[in-house]
Amino acid sequence: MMWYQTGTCLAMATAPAALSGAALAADPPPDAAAVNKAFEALKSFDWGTDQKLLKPIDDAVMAAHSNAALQRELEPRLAAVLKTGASRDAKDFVCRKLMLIGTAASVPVLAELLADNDHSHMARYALERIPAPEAASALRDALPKLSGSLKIGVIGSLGVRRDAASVSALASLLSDADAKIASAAMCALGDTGNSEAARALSACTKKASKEVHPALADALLVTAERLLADGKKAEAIAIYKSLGGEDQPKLIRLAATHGLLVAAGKKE
Amino acid sequence: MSRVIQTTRRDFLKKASLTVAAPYVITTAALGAQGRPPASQRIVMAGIGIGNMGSGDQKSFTGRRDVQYVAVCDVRKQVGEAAKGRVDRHYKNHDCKVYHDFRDVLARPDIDAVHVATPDHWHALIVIAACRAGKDVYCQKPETRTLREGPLMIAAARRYSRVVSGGSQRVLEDYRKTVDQCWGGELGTIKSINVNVGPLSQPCNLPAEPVPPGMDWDMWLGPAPWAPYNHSRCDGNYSTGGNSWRSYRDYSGGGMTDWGAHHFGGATFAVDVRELQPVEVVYNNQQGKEFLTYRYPTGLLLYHNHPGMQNLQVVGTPGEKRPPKAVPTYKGHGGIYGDFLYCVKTREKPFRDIERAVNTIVLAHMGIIAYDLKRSLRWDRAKQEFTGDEVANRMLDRARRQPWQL
Amino acid sequence: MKQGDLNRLAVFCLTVCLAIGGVAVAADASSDDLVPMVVNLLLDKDRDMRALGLQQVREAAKGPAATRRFVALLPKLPPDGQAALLDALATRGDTTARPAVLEMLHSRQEAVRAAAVRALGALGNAADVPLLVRTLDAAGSEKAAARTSLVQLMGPDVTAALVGQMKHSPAETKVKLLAVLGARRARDTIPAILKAALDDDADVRTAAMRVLGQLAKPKHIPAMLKGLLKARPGPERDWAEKAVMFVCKRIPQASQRARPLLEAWKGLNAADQVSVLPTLGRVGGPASLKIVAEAIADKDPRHHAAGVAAICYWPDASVAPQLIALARSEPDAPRRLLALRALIRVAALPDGRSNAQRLVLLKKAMSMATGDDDRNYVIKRANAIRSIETLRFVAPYLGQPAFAQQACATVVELAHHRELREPNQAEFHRALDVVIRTSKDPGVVDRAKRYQRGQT
Repeated sequence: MMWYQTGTCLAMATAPAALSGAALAADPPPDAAAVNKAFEALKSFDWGTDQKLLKPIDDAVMAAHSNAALQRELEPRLAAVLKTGASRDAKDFVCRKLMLIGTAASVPVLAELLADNDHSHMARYALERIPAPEAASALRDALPKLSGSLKIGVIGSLGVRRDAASVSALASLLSDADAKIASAAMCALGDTGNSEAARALSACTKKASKEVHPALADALLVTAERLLADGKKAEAIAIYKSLGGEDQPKLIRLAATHGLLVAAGKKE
Repeated sequence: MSRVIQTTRRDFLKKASLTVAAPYVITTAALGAQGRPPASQRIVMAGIGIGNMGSGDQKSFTGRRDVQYVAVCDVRKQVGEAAKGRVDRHYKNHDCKVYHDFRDVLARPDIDAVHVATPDHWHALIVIAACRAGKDVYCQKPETRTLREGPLMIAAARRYSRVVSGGSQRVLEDYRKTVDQCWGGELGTIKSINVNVGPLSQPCNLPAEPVPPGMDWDMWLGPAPWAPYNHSRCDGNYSTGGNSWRSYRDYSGGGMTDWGAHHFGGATFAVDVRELQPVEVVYNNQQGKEFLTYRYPTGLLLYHNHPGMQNLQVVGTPGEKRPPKAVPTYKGHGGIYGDFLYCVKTREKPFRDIERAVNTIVLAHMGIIAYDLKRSLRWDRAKQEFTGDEVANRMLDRARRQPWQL
Repeated sequence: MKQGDLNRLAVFCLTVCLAIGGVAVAADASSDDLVPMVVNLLLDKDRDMRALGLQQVREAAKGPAATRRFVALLPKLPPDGQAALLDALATRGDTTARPAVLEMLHSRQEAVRAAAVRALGALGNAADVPLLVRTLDAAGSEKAAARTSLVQLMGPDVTAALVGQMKHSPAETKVKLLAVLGARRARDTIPAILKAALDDDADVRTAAMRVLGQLAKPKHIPAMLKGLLKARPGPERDWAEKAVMFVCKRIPQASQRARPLLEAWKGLNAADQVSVLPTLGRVGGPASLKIVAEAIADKDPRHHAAGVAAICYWPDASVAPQLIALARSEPDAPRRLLALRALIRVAALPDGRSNAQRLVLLKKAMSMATGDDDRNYVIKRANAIRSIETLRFVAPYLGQPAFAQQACATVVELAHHRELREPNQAEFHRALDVVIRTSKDPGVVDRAKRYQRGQT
């Protein structure tokens, strides 16, 4: 593999991004043979196997953070493991590494795991943190194909990503017959917290079942906080006012009052 | 909610929200000795995660006359039963209820406050769910497992006006001499302080063992990645060098977060930066000896494992004296537990208010990332992200196993 | 929002629901309307809503204008509301509220007066010191509040005012003021505290020496010795000696700790030197040992007694040979026992010797013990030596009724240390089995069971 044969790229890994004039340590150069051996070990890696066998891959992943060529070489090699019959533990290990250095290139193979009970979570472990928009698209596209817990997991990951492009997809789940899925979508929209999410949540307040009311109220409160942080005070206040009625539980009315106080103390 | 709501077998939050103002429900048998506050004025409490630290917390709370302790919760049946035995012996009745799912505890409208002493990977999820259920919370340290969790816990506490206290009693009690010197102005302007603590937690790949009877293993793992049961993976002893959950990255930051909560907390309190977060952490490596320098917006430096410096060693300004400042302390009586209970009654912020606790544990999490990446990082407190470091920002959080979400 | 609701808002007569509505309207108008919103909440009928308002008083709507608005509410609130608002104003920290706080000191309600006293700690100044000092003698919660406020009160002239109060106060008040000075770490008042250490009242002297033990520096030791010499034998002298010891122990270099005391000691007359010998013993060090040894050898019974007392206070095991000799051959039986007990104490001290060395000395002490109390004391002290040999030393006593209970406690204490227990699992298992069968203390049995299960 080029990155360890030439050493050119490895030199890049030692370039420090110094702050405050502090000297930084050079990343230790990954040893090519050791990395190859570690990938061999990964084929039979399972719970109880000596983790030190994989350390060269750990080191290479760390070195890849500041070495684009190394990253380009390593990522597909890791992703390829996900298509093999490697153990759950081995694939978990790979997902943890792709969480750190994965790009759009790894998204398709990770997306394939979203419907797999054993691997869905660790696929999201990578996809939730990969900044590429393709990762969000893959999560979004998986929604119609999933149900139950796996779907809830994906909805949650979209919320964590605060993916504006997913608002309509999430909004369509607000009236899902499965109250858990509807509640998850509400929370994810709350996390997203933009005006569109606020409109979607507000629109379902009248028709929402009692079962999802707590999730809806919380999502609206979270949305209002995010709108307020984004300078959309009037929209936030409208939400707080909507939650201040006697029909709301006292805890929610208290929260709405608190929100109004925060809004009032905030200059336009 | 979520996250918790989505996955509940019962719509606990709805019930809790609707009934938050309901009167306490205490059986006649639960009423204690003379001289205690009337039942209606006692704080009704439950414990979630009732093993090593949890049992200590439970004893402290049951020992309070202004508390009526009514329930315990643990994913290990025997641990829960043992805790019930302790509570029942204390009250000389059989009223303490045992749960293995914290959602059932939070669904009880009669419970005002809970203490949480689960492994760290559960803290944020339970604390946030408790706030959403209208409960006040005393949460053991380290309060968070990732950087993203802290602001969400603070937001939930503030949103629902809940009293949420972190759990390090050592912050105020263990470093009093240093605290008094710094706040008393005897050392002049403080330039730096050092914290020695460690180690960092490690990945865990222990082999599968049979799940012992009474252990709800899936619930123990909760939001953490699935892994087979192994007794060392989930042992609650205080080791951070293996043989305990505190040693492993999916559940803990190791000594860096476990004792870090105490030492970083004590240091930031001593030098009065507990309301702040650093603007950068500089990774240093001197002849193979790694250490960190955190820089605060005030210019103060906080070192981690600085070679040649002792734990909580302070560098002031020789010859300079500063006007003394009154040292903040616990409210009420009875240490950190009394402080929490006092604030539950008055709705003030406790000494280890969750925001201060988060400001402490941020140091440990930032430090772990800096050591992992072996590079310096700039921190944007307002955005809660690292500036110009995409990889470090990936490490702000980790996806939670379904169906758990913050 | 209905017009009727707005009217009710204006007269501060809101239901929970109306509070929400009123707040919302205010928020619509302008961010400057936060203060009236808070005012409304403070007057709300619902406790949780009032708590929200108090939280805002503590943290938001900064500035004296808002403070005045909040202060103006005090007369309109019921007593518990007044107390809560006073506490919130204290946390807010705006001294604009001070005149109103002083007014509230005249409340007929004790809880309100106590809250006002507490608030003065944050909002008051040196001029409030006399009032707070007077309140130290009040009844109930005001007294504790006054003490806390005197500790917290900041400002350049506060400590001077406290010292001024001390001059004319009765002994009981002086004692309280000295404790306040200690809690304030008011080093600038050390001259006044040294003077109090010579007061005619024993309680005042004791209080002064205790504070000096916390605050004084080595240069103050000569003056502290005057206080020590004035202290009556018994608890007062004991405290005085400890105070001097604390000051010496704060010297970072161990080899220098006795130096200031020795220098001061040399300046004393012969009789006073004898009186200060036990203090030399508490601080220890080779130079002091020479003096103490001479005193023990002295034929004057006073000198000898003071020397024995001194060596029995020694902070480490370097005097073990002398203690063994005294325990064997001291003619006076109580002093012989004192030496044996000192030997048992120092034998187990973690003072740089190996575990084996410490255990050998402890066994030696056991061999010299003649009573069961002393033997039990040896078994108790063994818990400080964390080695498997210690367990082997203690285990046989588990089967002897006179020592079994103490031995159980020591075994459990040793087992507490995982790094000792785990490599010696089988031996601990056997010993803990016996503990579980033998101990009468449920706490010890519970711990033994946990350790057997490998828990902490």
